[in-house]
Amino acid sequence: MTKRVVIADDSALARMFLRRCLEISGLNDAEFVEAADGAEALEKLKEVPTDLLVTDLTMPDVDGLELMRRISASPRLNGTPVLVVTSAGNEAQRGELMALGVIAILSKPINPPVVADALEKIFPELGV
Amino acid sequence: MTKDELSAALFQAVQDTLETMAFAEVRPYDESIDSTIDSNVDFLWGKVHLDTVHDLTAVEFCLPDEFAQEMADTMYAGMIEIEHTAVMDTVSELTNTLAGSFLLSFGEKAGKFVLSVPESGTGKSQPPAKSIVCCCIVDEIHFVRAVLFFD
Repeated sequence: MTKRVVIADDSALARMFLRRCLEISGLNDAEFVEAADGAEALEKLKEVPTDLLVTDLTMPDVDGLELMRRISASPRLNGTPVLVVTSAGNEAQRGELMALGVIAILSKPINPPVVADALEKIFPELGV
Repeated sequence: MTKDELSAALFQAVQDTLETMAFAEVRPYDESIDSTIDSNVDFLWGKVHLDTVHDLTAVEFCLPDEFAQEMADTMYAGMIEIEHTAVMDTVSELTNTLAGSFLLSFGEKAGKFVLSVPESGTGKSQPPAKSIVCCCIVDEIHFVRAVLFFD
């Protein structure tokens, strides 16, 4: 079954780069939906069930941390697997993000092997 | 971290970012062999402001306009028509990634920091006296510069 992946990042280049890494790492036939900030990501997540959210932290308006808080507070969205890919992934914030349900935090610049390792935790059936 | 350690970490961040994102080869600028490289071409810059990382306030990255367009071409790999917006987005994302990569070198000492959404523009500013400047040569022909700003 095709997996649905929402990618949230204010940079179009970063979204394209993430998508390419995810495709190389095993999600080559996924449906990718892009969002330029947290508010747009939330709308996309509410449309239909999503298998994975990949989000940046630093975004205008609703940033990644606020997005995670809203997902965590939503009975419908809570439990959506989330991967954070960010330049602002400092150690001090890691605990808060993990408590909100983030599965892995990856620091930019990312590369396919790092993404594949994270995907293995979320989709072991991919066998990446 | 000492000034030398900060300079080394900044160079490493430039190298990691450009090698990973654009498959570019980066080495330090060496005046004795790089004096023929024109560093007065048109430049674009990106800047990320930092909150609560000691007295560091911003990281800036600037590169020649023509090189930024080449980088955008490389990174988008022909998927879109490269226009000015895509070039500026490329500069912003490179700066954002470079700043994050640099901050990783602080480890837990960085504490809880916040990065701003990147700003970008045209031109090449004169770095203030209280700054650390890292000049590099990319793919043997392009001059790029990263700057750390302090309080």
